[in-house]
Amino acid sequence: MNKNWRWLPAGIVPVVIVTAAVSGSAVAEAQPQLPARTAQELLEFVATSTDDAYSGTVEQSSNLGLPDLSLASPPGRTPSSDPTSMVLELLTGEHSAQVYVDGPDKAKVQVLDQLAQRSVVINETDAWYYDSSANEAAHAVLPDKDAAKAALEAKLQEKVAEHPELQNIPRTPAELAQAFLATIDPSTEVTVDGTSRVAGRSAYELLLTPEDATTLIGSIAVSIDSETGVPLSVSVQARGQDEAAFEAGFSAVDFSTPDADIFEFTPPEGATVTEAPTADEAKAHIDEAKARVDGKDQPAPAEEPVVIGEGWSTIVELPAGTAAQLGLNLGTGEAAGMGDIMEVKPGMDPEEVAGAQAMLEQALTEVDGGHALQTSLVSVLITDDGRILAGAVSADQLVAASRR
Amino acid sequence: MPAESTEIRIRAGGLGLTLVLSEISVLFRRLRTWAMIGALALIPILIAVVVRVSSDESASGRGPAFLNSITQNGLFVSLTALTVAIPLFLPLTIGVVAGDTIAGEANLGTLRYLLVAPAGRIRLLLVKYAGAALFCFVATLTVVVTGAIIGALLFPIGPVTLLSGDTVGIPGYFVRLLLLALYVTVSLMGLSAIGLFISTLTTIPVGAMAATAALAAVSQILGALPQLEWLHPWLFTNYWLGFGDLLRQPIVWNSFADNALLQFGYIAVFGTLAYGRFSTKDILS
Repeated sequence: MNKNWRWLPAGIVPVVIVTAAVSGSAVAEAQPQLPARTAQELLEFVATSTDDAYSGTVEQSSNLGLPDLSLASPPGRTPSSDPTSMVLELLTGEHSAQVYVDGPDKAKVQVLDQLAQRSVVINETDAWYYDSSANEAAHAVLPDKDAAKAALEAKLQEKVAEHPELQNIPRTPAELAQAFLATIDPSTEVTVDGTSRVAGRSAYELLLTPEDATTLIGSIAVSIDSETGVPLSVSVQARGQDEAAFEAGFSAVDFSTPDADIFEFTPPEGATVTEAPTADEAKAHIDEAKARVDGKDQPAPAEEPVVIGEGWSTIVELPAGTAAQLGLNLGTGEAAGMGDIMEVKPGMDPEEVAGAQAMLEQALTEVDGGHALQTSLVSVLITDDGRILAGAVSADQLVAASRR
Repeated sequence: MPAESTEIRIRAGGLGLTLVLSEISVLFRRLRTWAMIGALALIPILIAVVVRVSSDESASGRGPAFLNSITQNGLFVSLTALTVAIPLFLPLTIGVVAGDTIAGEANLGTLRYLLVAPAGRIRLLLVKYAGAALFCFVATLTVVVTGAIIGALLFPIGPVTLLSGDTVGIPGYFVRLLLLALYVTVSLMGLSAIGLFISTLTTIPVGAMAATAALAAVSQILGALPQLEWLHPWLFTNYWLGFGDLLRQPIVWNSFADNALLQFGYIAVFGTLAYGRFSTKDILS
């Protein structure tokens, strides 16, 4: 008897799995049929969107052309709490986050790391940040919303009284959309680029394309939910790169109001809680510092940052000395090679500094007159005299700008 | 004659459960099974004792997840032990049990006697797989329960802080521990199916055991290579450490569902492969 048919299931199962996987992604990519809308209509739709309670999973990935910095940090360590490396870590690689939003006042974002979590919880009165791997929390008391709003309104009225032409500032969503398009028009083309399917929902694709040829940004696409007007995903395309340089969007979204207790947070016992100064305290602190500087009759405070160019290829130049303030130490020391980029300052964990140093050494390249960090979207130049230039242009253009 | 045929039918019908029970009792009467469970129980004990004896604070921030929380709350020993056991020790013991299923019987010369009884080859495969699956659950539970007990003995215990910073009481925590054990068991089901298939290929159980355990290691190595990112969602080890999603508030079920689907795919593929191989095989021993 021929028993070979008994191998049949083993042949069929993989075929079924592959078919299911392929057809699943084909359904996900099918373009839904939606009534056509112009860019103006779409922007109005977003501005009038009232459905602002939802929850979902956000996937973020970036492809900035940087070396994979997660390999530079010692294995087995969750992302460091040091802000620089945390930002770098969030900018490279992939992340998944759980997002809950209920109105403009309540939000919760949970960055889901493996066996760790970083959470941000905002409700009407407080803002919390909690990092589970370090068991550290930061807390800020939010200023009274109504009072702040009233103060803002009063200030606005004052300004309008001074400058009557401000009376014409856009108020309605339609006016806002028009104003936005008018402002952005000379430098950017705004179009509706068909439809797409995001997190199982039909969406309009709003496409912003810079007219400026010198910027690294190729285009920015925003998917807008066709029913609620909530933006579902953003992707930034870099010039000369097929894959999106930055992508963030919902992989699942639910437009029902999240439970109220999700937005409550009490720091766990044993956690280190840092209290952020309130707005008044911060202001007092700044005033005090100012008074001290004025009193000592010091040389003029550091120069203001300089803005070079306009539109998409704007370059920001931070004055000399900024690099040193940030603890970056380039160009001094060994003339050609890279010395210790990071200075170990008191209160810093030497090991963390060494880690950051290794990261920077990987990421920075030497250019004429300084060191540059070139990503597919943004470049940063640290000149040998300690200035920092940054912009969405190539490093060569930064070098040229630094010579002016 | 009618009486005899009825009896056979009853025996055949009842054989499923009988066979499962006999398989389980054989599995858990083996010294080797208990040695492996004992070794798994040693992991949390070792971790707890080392942390208790040394009071070195300088190591904070390093080591496996949850290690630093142990001194404040002994219940975290379970989690640390699970994190340590998942990549190596659990797959190793599963490899031994799953690799032994068919090849072990063939090696002992008992396979043909099992098949002389009107058991059918499909049923034998299913029973063997059920035994391996039960072992996955017992092994995981051993790590979790021993961890909780030794932690409670050596350290203060109390309400547990979850990854999201929320706190759950001890009963709520035990519900989550049970879910964790379930998650890890499901994670290991794909590997068990692979072990079952390899076990039908050979009559040398050690070969099947080694191959199964080695595959678990290979899959984890491939999963660590960023260049093979397109492959990662297809690796059976991909969600092994995703059990952390059960320690958030609210619980994130995505990884549980994804993991279950992935493991089911592996069970389907390697189960049918094992069936194809085992049902067409000439049983010589």
